[in-house]
Amino acid sequence: MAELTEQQIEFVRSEILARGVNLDTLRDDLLDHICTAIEHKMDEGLSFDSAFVETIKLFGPDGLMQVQHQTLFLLTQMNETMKKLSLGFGLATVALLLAGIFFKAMHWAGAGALIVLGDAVLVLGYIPILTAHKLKESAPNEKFNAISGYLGLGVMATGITFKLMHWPTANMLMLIGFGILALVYMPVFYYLRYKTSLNKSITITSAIISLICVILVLQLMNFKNVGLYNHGITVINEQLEENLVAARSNSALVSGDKAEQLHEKVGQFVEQIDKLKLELKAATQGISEAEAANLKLSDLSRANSEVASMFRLFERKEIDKIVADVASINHDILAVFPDPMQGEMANIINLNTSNTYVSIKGETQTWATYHFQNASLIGVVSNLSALQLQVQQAENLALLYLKSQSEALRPPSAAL
Amino acid sequence: MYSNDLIKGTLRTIILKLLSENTRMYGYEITQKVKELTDDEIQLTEGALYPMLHKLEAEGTVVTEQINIGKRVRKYYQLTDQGKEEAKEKVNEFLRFIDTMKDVLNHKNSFQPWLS
Repeated sequence: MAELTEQQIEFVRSEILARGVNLDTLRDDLLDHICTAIEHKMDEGLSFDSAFVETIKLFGPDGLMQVQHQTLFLLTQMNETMKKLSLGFGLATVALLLAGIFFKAMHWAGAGALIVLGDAVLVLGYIPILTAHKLKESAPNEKFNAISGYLGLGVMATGITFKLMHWPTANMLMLIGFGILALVYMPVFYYLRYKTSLNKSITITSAIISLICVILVLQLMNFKNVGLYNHGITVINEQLEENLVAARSNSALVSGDKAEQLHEKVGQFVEQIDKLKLELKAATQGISEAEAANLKLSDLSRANSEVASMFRLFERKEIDKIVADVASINHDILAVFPDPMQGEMANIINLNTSNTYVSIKGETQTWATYHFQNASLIGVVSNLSALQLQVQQAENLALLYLKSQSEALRPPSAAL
Repeated sequence: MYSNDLIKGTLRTIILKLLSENTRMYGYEITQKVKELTDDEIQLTEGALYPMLHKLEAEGTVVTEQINIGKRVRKYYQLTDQGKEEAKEKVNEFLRFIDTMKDVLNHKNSFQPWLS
């Protein structure tokens, strides 16, 4: 009986490896099988070379790879429990997410809970089961690819949920998830495909198409816009607050009891709004008011979230107090002016809280809802600053009038 | 030669039967034995044999023993106690199946009662 030399065995081993068989135990089986078959054929008078070719032919084209695929497939068929679990998790995810989106569209309560639950089932149930199964099924060199794919998907799904719920770090999570998919999973996937594919040009084409999709999605995301918007509002708010400080350094204008009463009333109102702005910032960021004082608007997380500010202003009725205060101040300021002037001054000061407004959507709104409802946190804070400035400037107009009246009453000689 | 569909369903039974009659066998030996027993009518393709052997090993139906032959390793497959039980069951089941098929195929008339 013929016996193969060490070199010949090495040659067969390298040929098996080159055909993509990387399961060690299977490789041992195939090496012994092919070598034994070659020895038998050599006994029948064939040369080593032609015996090798004949034996490999028996496996068919791509045959060795097929054996490995078939082995992995048989070894990793899901058992019944796993099949049921993964089907259950998958269906639960779809049902919960669909219901959540429907509830959200209908503005029904519980939409958020449904979406969070759906994503929790997806990320904690469905994806781990698929990953575990994929890991068993994959050849050693494909395991990393499988992990990166499911990891990227999980992080991205979590990010999207956070985004829908206006929770912090949503953008970060989405970016990380997308990054893993686009920069790790996809390149490795196409590299592996390219190495083993028969029609390389098709693989390249589909890789390029995927790349184009990634670039298009990145363009769609356009992270800069939100940042620019927040930055712009921050600058406007800083200017408003600067002007407010300037408008409040008005002690030289205060003369007489009437002026002092008005000055004190407006001062209290402005301070109260200052406090409310700090409270809003502190409550939404979960920090102390001292820390909130040093925080720029553009650095607020959830700067675009409307939920927390709505809670303070509308559900706790703080807005009603603001409306009443502004109305009272407006009344006091107008009372400073003589009757014939009051109509003109009311137009100039423009502090009438019983005015109605028409929103962008064409809905009729009250003064309070137009300025503060459905505005983002950053918008509410800067609108409060604008209100402070407006009230302060109205006060100054009244003080100026009062002072001019008292100057006019004084005899000219006294001025000398 | 029989069609692949027929062989596919019987592969497990064939392997178990052969292993139950021999203490231990290696892969190539199994393919040759099948050829010999069936006068070449059934040729186990290599593509089908090893995946099934690995599955049987994972299930605990067979165990392997590795022997070094020069520069390569030969893996011998051997039935476990559980495997021996299954071999008996599978062979019996298949014999009953053959009887049933014979009944079905021989009684042509039963399909055309109006002719009798």
